[in-house]
Amino acid sequence: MTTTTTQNGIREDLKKIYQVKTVCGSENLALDFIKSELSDFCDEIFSDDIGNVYAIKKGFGENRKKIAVVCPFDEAGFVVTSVKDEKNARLYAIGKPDFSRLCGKGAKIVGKDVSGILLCDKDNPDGSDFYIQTGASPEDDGIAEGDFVSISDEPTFLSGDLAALGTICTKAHGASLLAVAKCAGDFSFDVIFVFASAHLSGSRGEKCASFIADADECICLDMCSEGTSSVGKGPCIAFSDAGGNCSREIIGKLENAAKNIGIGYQLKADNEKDRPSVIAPFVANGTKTALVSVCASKLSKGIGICNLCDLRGAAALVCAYLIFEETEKEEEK
Amino acid sequence: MSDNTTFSEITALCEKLTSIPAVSGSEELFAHEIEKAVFEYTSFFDKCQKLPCGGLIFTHSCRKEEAPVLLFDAHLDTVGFVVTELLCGGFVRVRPVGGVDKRLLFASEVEIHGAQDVKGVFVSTPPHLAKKDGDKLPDISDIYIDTGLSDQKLAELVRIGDTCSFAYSMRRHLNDVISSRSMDDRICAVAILLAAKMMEMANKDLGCDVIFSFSSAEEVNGTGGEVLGKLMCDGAVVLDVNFGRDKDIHEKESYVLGDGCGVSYSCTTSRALTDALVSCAKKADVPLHTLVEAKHTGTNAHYLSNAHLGTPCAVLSIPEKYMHSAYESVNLADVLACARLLCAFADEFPTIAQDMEQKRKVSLCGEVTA
Amino acid sequence: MNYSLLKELCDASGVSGYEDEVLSLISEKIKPFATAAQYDRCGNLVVFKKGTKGSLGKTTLYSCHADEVGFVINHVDAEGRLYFDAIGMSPLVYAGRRVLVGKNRIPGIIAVKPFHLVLSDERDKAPCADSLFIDIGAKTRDEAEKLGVFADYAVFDTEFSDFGEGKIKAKALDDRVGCAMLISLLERGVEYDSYFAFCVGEEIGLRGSKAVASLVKPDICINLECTTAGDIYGVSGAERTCTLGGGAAVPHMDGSSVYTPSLYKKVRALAEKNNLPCQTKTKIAGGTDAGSYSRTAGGTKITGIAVPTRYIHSASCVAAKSDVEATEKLLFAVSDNIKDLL
Repeated sequence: MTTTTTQNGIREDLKKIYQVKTVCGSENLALDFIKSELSDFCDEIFSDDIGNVYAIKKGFGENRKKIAVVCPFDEAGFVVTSVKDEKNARLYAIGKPDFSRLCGKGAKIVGKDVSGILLCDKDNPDGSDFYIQTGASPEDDGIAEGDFVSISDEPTFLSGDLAALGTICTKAHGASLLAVAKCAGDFSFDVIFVFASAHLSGSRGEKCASFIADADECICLDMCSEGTSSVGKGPCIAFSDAGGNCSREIIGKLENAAKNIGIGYQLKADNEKDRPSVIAPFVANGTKTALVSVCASKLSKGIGICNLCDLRGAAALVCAYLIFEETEKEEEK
Repeated sequence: MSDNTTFSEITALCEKLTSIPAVSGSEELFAHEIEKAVFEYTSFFDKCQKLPCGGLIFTHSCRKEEAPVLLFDAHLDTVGFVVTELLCGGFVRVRPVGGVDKRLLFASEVEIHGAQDVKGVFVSTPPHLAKKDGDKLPDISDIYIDTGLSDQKLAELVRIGDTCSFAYSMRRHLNDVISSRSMDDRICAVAILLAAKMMEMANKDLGCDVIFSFSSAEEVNGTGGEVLGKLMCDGAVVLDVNFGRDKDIHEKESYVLGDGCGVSYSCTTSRALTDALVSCAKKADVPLHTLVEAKHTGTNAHYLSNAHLGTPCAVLSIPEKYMHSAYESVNLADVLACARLLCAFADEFPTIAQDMEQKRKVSLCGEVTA
Repeated sequence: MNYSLLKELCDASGVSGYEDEVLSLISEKIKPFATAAQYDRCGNLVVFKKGTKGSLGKTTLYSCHADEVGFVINHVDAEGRLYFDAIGMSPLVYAGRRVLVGKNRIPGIIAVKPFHLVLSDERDKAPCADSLFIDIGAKTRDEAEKLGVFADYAVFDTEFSDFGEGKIKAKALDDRVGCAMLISLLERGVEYDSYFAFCVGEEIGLRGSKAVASLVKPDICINLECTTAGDIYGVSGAERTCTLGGGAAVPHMDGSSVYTPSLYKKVRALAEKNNLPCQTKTKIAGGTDAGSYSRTAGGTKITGIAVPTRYIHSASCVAAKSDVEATEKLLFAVSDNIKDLL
């Protein structure tokens, strides 16, 4: 593995990912970021109308297979619904962050150099109860209806290789995809990396991506809560998520690859009911799909404490899978 | 075929099919066994295709050009459990897959489908040790399965992700009722296969291709039904079980075992296809009862009817008591009625399909092509 | 806006799953103007209109839904009572109301115990949906079933009418207003080739539009709807959502999708340029068919334009004629400027 998966590499990637404010629907920010990271490693990088970013490593030969590697790349946030109040801009939540934690948190208007504080008056707020105070009146500060607001919850790096992901707990696997794209070599098949947008508003990005990528096989990466698996024991190979079942054939291949290369992993058969499904659109489109997830504690609270070793392990596992797919193909010949 | 011979045949086929477990998520592991069982019973189908999501598609081609395609769907997957953790002392933690009634689990028998089938028993607290907080039951994840094995042997035979079903047994009761696990939805597969055999034996020269889809994941997320949208069938009859009449179940949502099969009117099915199915039943003298399930039929029709470009669906159901328990009960006469209706419908389908195609045109206007 | 057309559409029946009557009516109205039309495999009416300037090389779709909230009869008991499933409504808006059952419009009443006989603690709660039934005056099951009511539909017995000053009151404004506007646009004509979809099953989960999305694969979609206006006395601030008289509502999202920011911003700018009153929504509730279109191959550019409507999903929906006009004019402006919006 190259330096991107060493100690500091992944931390730097996570910090960069935090700076790219991908509240659902924020256009072009993700595309520019991924272009800057992966132009040297991928043949084609583009985005679609919903904001998914695709980075393709083309294979060679005719009728070649397509393998997609997908992760959600959006974050919970807000949209400004009204600026008529003189003091505050009213907000509506996108995604389901833990509302009880948000009052008093810092926030930024995406695309504008305006910071503010999230406030609400109720004790048990829901998605429509928040507003943001930025100092001057919203109009004076240049806030418009429809602007997106990102929550300023920076990742905190703890000892023991742990990290509290904060805002990026829904998109930390962007770092895994970057790592795989940079160190996986060349393959005879196409590898399509998909950084999915609009995941939190009903897996919409993945739905579109399932049609555009039209892959033969798909490995999705996501975070998961602990349950019967634990933080620090390696990436989890999951049997299902809230909306779809994983292909046991690919699960077998993932395990095989992990054992051969010596990557520690856990098997996970828990039910992740409260999170939008990453794999469902791909399964429903007829693609053999699997899910590799990384445990994080306090995930539903938006804190997401995980072990960076597990994130690196997830990237390594995907790399191993791709290498074995290639080897198998050669053996078939 | 006399009724008696048919009933024994239905029972034998049902025994075979319900003995093969396939809890949602593990369908692909049993595809080979299912394929074998189908081809052993009937040669009506020309080939079998395994879908990436775990479902199976058996196709019968009528060998006519531009023939319409009729789909009969029954879901292969069943409710059950999946192993989430191995605990010491030979105990296993599971979680439910699909809707399972936890009240029925204590001290019940199960099979864990590991490296080999492992027998297990859900634990039960002896009465004198039971908590005083009497009425609230623990989650299924806290009702462990006892395998009676040593830790070492357990680890050799069972892994996280292995599925687990109610223990298998079939019994015949009075009045042509049989009970077994997994009647939901294997009994409908039996009806479809019986229809296939009837058509095979009558050497039918059908005017349409017939596809039998044994689909995956219906009990959990409907992705197996959605995938079928790409087949672009001209019509689909989705078969599933409905609620058998019992004491304390209202007559508006339950149907008497032995009263024939059920047909559902719903916002999510095609009224044209459903009406055609009903009139076909009248002509063929098949006893039928009508269900109205306005918003959701609770079947694959919900996912198939608007998947991809949409497929006109009708829902046909067999009444069943004790749904999702270890001893689901059905009446053999209803299965036979269902099979006869499917045969009659396959005969009439080419005309029905043509009719529906015609009605889609808005006269005096050209056709919309995307 | 042709209010006699709107009246015909609102008074017609089209409960989710039983849209035939209203779709036949719509297909009669659009036949003189449409280049091509057909029902798709899901039952949606999909119409294609050639533009005066030909094709833009991209696919434009204008969408609305033909179904309305209503009732489906699911059981007739021994004494001729019609039990039903209510689509999209709470008992508070239909208990005790007059309905018309089926295409023969058999009058019925959704029966509720007389107030005097209701226990005092029950008087403060919504009536229980399961215990409500429609009384058409039948005494036996046979009598009722001979009329073919089982598995049939029922709609509110409300006639479209003018209301207050400059307002209209009807059932099914959601979304016959959208249908009327698309018919107007078809009649007016478009510069570039466009598709028009009259979808089914929106009220039971945005069902029909999913199939239209796969068929048409639009690059841009404008969804015409009615949206909740909460501007009644006693409601203040964000809860008012949007107001009657405030013009066309062009929100930035709904419960099923976030609209394409560049698109709705351009639409709002168009409204301003054409001096059309326009407003946003300060509270989000409920999804629309735009959600289906945003989940297509390529991800379509989507936005919704809606008429603010009070008491939506009830027997008496109220909207302002000025908002209806503003929305229709905005739709026309969008169509005239579709090249810039793409």
